[in-house]
Amino acid sequence: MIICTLVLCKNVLNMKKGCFNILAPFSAIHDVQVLKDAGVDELYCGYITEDLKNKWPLAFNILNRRGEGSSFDNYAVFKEAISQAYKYNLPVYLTLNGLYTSQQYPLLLSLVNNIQSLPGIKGIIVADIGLLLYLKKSKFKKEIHISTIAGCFNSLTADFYKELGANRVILDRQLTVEEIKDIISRIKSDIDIEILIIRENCGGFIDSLCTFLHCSEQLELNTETIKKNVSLIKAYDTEICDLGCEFYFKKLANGNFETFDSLTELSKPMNLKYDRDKHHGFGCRICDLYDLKEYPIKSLKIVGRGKSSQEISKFVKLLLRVLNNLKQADISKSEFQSKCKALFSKVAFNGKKMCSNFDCYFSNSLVKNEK
Amino acid sequence: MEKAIFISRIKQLKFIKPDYARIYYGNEFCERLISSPSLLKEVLFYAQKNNLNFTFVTPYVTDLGLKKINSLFELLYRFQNSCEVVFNDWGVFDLARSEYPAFTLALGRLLVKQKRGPRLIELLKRKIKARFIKDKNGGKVKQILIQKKLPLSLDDYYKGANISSSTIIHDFLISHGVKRIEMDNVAQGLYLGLPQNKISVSLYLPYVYITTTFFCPTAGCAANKNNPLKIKKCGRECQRYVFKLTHKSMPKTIYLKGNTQFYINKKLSISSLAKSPVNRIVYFPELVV
Repeated sequence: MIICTLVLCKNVLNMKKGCFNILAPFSAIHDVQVLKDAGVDELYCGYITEDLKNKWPLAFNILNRRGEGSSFDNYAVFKEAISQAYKYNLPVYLTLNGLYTSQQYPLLLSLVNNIQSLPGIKGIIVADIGLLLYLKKSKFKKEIHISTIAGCFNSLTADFYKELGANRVILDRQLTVEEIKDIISRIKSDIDIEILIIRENCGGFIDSLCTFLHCSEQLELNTETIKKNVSLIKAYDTEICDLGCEFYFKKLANGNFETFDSLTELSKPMNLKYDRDKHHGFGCRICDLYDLKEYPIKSLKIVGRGKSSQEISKFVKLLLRVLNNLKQADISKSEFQSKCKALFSKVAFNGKKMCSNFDCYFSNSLVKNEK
Repeated sequence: MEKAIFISRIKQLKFIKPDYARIYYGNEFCERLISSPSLLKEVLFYAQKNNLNFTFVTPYVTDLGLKKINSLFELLYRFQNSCEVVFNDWGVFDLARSEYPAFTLALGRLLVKQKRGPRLIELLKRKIKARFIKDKNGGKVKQILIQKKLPLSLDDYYKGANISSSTIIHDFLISHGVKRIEMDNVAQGLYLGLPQNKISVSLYLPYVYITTTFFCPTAGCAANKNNPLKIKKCGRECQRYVFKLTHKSMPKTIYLKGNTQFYINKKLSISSLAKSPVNRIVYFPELVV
């Protein structure tokens, strides 16, 4: 069987090794200059038309996964930002990684059609198989990248998406180094690979298979005082601060729980493997680059929904230093990784604390002997 | 209406009642729990002996899981090459259609992008709610949080799903021989826009899956009672424990079984089964992963 072969495929052999692009998000015109100066190679962003926004509020991350305030919503501004990027030779990928229903396709396809004429847009990032099929049918001329929301965990899925017209697939955040190597080694097509490299981690679930309501709404504050010292705030969800996946499990229920003699201990975050004291809210896998340096990963994605370009550029610079360390011929794995941890600590925590295994997207140390 | 039972372990065969016409066997959520060939054979023989139809269910997988599934597919193909297989991963679909073309394929519920967060149930009722929230500025100003009503256009989105509503996806599935999709009986209501007599639906009762992970929260949880959070290797604790979560903002209790969260919805979410493409109900006798 094909899947049992261990021969490195032509993809591995043909591509330039260890030469990663750095891909970063932006959401304003001035971000382009800041990120260019920081050393980014590629950019991604969201753009939503008024028509789409009015019908499907951005608060619910329906149209893309970027949330309110993170996507362009004015075409002139968007066009100017793309034009700036084009001037600097920075390719831009437009994020359209929602999962859609039939009512949404006409407006989305109209948007896609409009942005095709912008030379600065090199491609779009999609998750919805319907949109992907429409793009194939319409012979979409730009690149198509498969979002993590589409869930690629193995080589055959990557090849499947290639067959549907994709040029690049972004692998799931939770895959281990060995699993990433497996995928790259077994892919039969020439699809490019991208991985998430740093910033932001989900509470512990798979992006593409989590169906919780994620509502990143900016609260609508009514400053008019209806009576003294009272203000009104409007929101779609009155429990907006509580993401379902981050709730705390309060009790156990099953007839076989005798081995747990202390329920108090289990009144911890629901992800029983997470120690919230050690999890600092960042996600990262820069240490893994040592093991992946010989693998043809096209791009390293910095995650950063709604973050300022100043904040993102700190991580671009961090990555450049990490990649520079990787170029040192005699650097050992442990030396490389300890330098990574020191850099991470400096950038993410101002040097005040070190990262823990719980900051990894999926640390090998957490899955040892498990798979 | 065909009635089926979903089991993941041999001992759950005891739940089979005379009115079941089909057994679903396998799992959707964990490649560590993919059946051994001998257990698969045992269930296949049981189904054959008791004149029950058989459906093999596969999870989302890495390349390691693909290898395991491939060996089971070989066995299954020899036993019954037109066997129904539920895929929850496009890589598994790719493997099945290319190497085992006689299989009858059904699209699993993990690939049907229904929205399952339980808070949707209340939000879609569009009742105005208000409550006081803590003022971040030292308690001098009272803040009242009022729930806005959702636009009506969101009904289609939250009760529907891409795969159940999009013609281009239906055409794609039918062209690859996929004529059945597996769906959750989500409590906020269910919109099905499927072409009549071309694609059928299996409706799963009563456990609605919400979210899942490779990073199994349950694995190793029983390894050290003094420190249940310590990282331990998987000891199949999911087969012994269920964790239960209640929260004031959740209209449903959430259950964590292994690496996956569920809620229960026993009430059918479509008004008339007879006029719908649902022609099979799949019952879970207990929470399975």
